[in-house]
Amino acid sequence: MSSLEIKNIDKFYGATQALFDVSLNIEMGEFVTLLGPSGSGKTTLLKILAGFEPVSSGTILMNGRDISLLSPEKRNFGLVFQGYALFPHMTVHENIAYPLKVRRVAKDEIDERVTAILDLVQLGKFAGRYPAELSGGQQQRVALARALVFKPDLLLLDEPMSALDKKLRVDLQEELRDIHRTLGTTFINVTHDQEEAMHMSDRIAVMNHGRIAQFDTAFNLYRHPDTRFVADFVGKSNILDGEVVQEGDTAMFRAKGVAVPLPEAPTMLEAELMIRPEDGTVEVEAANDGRIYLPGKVLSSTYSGDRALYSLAMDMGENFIVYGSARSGIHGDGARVLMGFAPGDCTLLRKLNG
Amino acid sequence: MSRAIYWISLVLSMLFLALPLLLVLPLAFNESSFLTYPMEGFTLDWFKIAFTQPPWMPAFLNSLKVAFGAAVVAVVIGGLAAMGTMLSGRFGQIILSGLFISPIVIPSVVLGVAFTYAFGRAGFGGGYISLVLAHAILGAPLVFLSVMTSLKGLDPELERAAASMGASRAYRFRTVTLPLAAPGFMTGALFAFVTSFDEVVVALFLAAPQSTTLPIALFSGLRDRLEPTIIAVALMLSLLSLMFLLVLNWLQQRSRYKTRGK
Amino acid sequence: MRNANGNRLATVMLLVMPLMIYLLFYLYPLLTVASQSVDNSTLYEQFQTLSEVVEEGSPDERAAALVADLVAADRRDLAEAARNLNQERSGFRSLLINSGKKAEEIPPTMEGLIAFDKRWGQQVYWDILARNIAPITWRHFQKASGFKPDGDGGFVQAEGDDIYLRIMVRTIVIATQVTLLTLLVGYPLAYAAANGKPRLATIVFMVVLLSFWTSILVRTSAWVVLLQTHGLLNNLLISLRIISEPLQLIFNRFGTVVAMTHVLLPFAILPIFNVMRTIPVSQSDASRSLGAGGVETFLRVYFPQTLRGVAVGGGTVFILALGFYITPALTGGPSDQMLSYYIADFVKKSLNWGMASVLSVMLFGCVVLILGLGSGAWLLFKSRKGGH
Ligand SMILES: Nc1ncnc2c1ncn2[C@@H]1O[C@H](COP(=O)(O)OP(=O)(O)OP(=O)(O)O)[C@@H](O)[C@H]1O
Ligand SMILES: [Mg+2]
Repeated sequence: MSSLEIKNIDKFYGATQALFDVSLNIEMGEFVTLLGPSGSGKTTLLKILAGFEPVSSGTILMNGRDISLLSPEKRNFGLVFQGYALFPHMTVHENIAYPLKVRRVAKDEIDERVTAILDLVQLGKFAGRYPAELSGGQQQRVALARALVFKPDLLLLDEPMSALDKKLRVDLQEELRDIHRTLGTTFINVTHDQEEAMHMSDRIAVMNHGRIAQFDTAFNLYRHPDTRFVADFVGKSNILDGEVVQEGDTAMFRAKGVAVPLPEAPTMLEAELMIRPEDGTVEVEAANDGRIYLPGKVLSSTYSGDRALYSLAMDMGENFIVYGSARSGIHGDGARVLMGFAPGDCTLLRKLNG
Repeated sequence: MSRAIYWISLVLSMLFLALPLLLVLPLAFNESSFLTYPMEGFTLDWFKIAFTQPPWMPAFLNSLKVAFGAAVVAVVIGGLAAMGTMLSGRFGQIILSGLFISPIVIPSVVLGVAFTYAFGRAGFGGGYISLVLAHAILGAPLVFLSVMTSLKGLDPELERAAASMGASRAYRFRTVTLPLAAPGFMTGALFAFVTSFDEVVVALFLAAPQSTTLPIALFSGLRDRLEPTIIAVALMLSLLSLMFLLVLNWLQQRSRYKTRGK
Repeated sequence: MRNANGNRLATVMLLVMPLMIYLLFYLYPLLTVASQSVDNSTLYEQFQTLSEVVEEGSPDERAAALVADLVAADRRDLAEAARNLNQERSGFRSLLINSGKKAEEIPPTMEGLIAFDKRWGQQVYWDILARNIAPITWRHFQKASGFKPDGDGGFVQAEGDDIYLRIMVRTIVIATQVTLLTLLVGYPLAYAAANGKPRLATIVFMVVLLSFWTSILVRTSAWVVLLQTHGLLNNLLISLRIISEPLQLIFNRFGTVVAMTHVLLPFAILPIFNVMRTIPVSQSDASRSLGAGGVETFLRVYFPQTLRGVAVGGGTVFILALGFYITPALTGGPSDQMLSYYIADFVKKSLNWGMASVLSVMLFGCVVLILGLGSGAWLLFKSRKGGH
């Protein structure tokens, strides 16, 4: 059973608590992303995994062995820093050879492995350059190569893409995923860019205020978020605040001006209902097809060729965003429309206190 | 109007700063032994005297010896002090920095008196060793400051990066911290060397007759008999300072790791 | 921090040697020499027997103790003690030395002593002894300040006894003059180095740096050559027929202040320059675009922001000037010498560690006072700024 188990970690900085009872089980070879807004504790968790910060309580097990007290140099984890942290006084080759020299690898083998990893990150030509002579993207790849060349048990990446521009970021995401597939090393990546997270990860741990809000696949986070926070943070969503009532043998979600039948009776009384923009449609008249239609008026729209994203002011008082077909024209601003959706496409969210 | 004030004050200040040396140093080549213009012909005699007659050459060699020794000792204590201080806590840093920098603000006469008294009582009175030690104390704060500056300028992530790759504390220090702080050590060494090389007051207290340094020789010369040889020596010292300045400049350029392609 | 124990061990290992060296070769010398300002061990050890009875004992007990101490005394130590006591009352030296020489023959009673030299019958001598044989003495401080106890618990200052206080004041006056001049001359240079056209700025900055790196002695000697009676400046003025007789430009206050200003100039310029460098040009442009004239912009927008640099530069120059020795020694007259000169003098001429130590303490006290005022002002400034 090769895996990383993070068990009930608390972390205090003086009196402020940065992590609350964080637990994660990460399988060998997985690509996991820590996703969360600024200050949610991602870097803190990463530093704890790397060994730069001690845990206040809880344990970290690597393949069943407790490593929470091990110093960073004994953990054999690769680490890609946000600012890359390349040694400015060493060439690319020397930078990448560093962890191998530390491990007293023979010189021939060092050259061999450095060359191989440089090829992997497509920087073969740059071995003799100093970091200051490389572009941001190239530096980032050197940092990656350096963190991988010693075959670490785990690769930790702290917002590796944040300093790069959008285009380069997408390319590198692609490349990073390929490298992950080639090497099969476990990757733990930190980001607050949800697209990047959804793109690359096998599973995503969404963090909020020092807690793990949900740890799941991108699909589940998107389709079945546990909480309003996750629903809001991952993708766009419309959320209705209401209550669950039992009417005959069906459970109903009721909010002001809406009643949605629920497929199964939930355990909670207060709840929220999430409708993704692509689960709704924009119509002129209602059909009798079991869908629900709510009246409103167009505030604005953004056309994107295949469809349009409408911002609607609903008569019941909320503002919704919904994708509508744009095949036969777009509804103008101020037009009265109906927003239709199927009850089965909605997701009921647990309501957290506070 | 403001322009005029600016230019007049600038020109006057510049003349005040630069003119004395520019006017006086050429007199080292004057054939007459009167230190005044117009010059009476060109000669290198005064330089010849400086190189052949006492006290100049022996004093120069003494100064070199003392300055070299003082710089070495100052680099060791100032450098170690800076590294230790960097590793201590916030409060410790304030206290230790205050202690290690403090010799700078103590008037050199006070230090001279203190060294003479204490060294005399300890029985190793005047002479080479005590002068080296005293000058090392004067130079150590400069080394401390310049090493601290370069250590503080280091990105702490570099050390962490090295740790994450498995390097032990000592190895990290040797391969990452030290090479990157090296310009700070060298700048500090240069400062310590120059400080000792130019130092008069403490040397006046501590130097035995046979360990007279160049500044002492110059000082006595100026006090007793002003002759062109002194100006010749001063000219050579100025050139030496220029050289130090260039070396320093080069060191600072180097520490930036701008373009170092191979 | 992580691995706190490893860190602490490394810290201690690194610090052991520098701390030892500082302790042995810096703090210890300073403290021992500072303790000399109140140290009275020569006299105390000399008259140890006497010191036990001098306050309470009967006249005969005192006389016996004194004779015993004199018999046991080493000749050289006694001479030193006599010299010190002579400073309190002239004639004491001969009295003590003569008594010391014949100590073996003097009967150990008050009568015997008075018979040997009738001055022993006068109470003043015993009072002076009593005051001066405690382990600690304020003698040197009294001499340095000119204030002496008047016997009733108050202090009096005799006419002409304030020489060291006046020297202290002179030292502060010269340091102040030099500080103001360096700021006046240095400010335009710093401004040009920070804001001038690149060519000009580089030239000014290089000249300043070169001046900074040129030995103080070299620069002082240039001034000696310039200012001496038949020096460059006098010859120039005479050949221009502005004056007919050489002016006295050196070995007086003028020479001292001018040379010191030149020598200390870089220490004022560099801090001001460093502050000026951080002030964006756009600020002055903005002020001018809002309608303020050049002078007004400078006074209201630019100058206040450079005050921090002016304070640091001025403070540095002042502290350095307080302790100056070489330049005044080479360019000043007898009445332009600063405290440092007298400290050195006491050591070189008479090995009078006590006085050298007291004056050192006074000089260092001034420096500490300035540093304290400076950091106090800085803290105040910071807290005011934070309060905005
Ligand atoms: N050294 C520290 N001392 C005190 N508090 C800290 C320290 N480091 C982090 N914190 C606090 O812990 C919380 C989590 O910080 P952390 O750096 O882990 O956030 P993050 O999720 O990485 O944010 P970002 O996306 O902005 O990088 C924050 O409230 C932060 O203020
Ligand atoms: Mg972070």
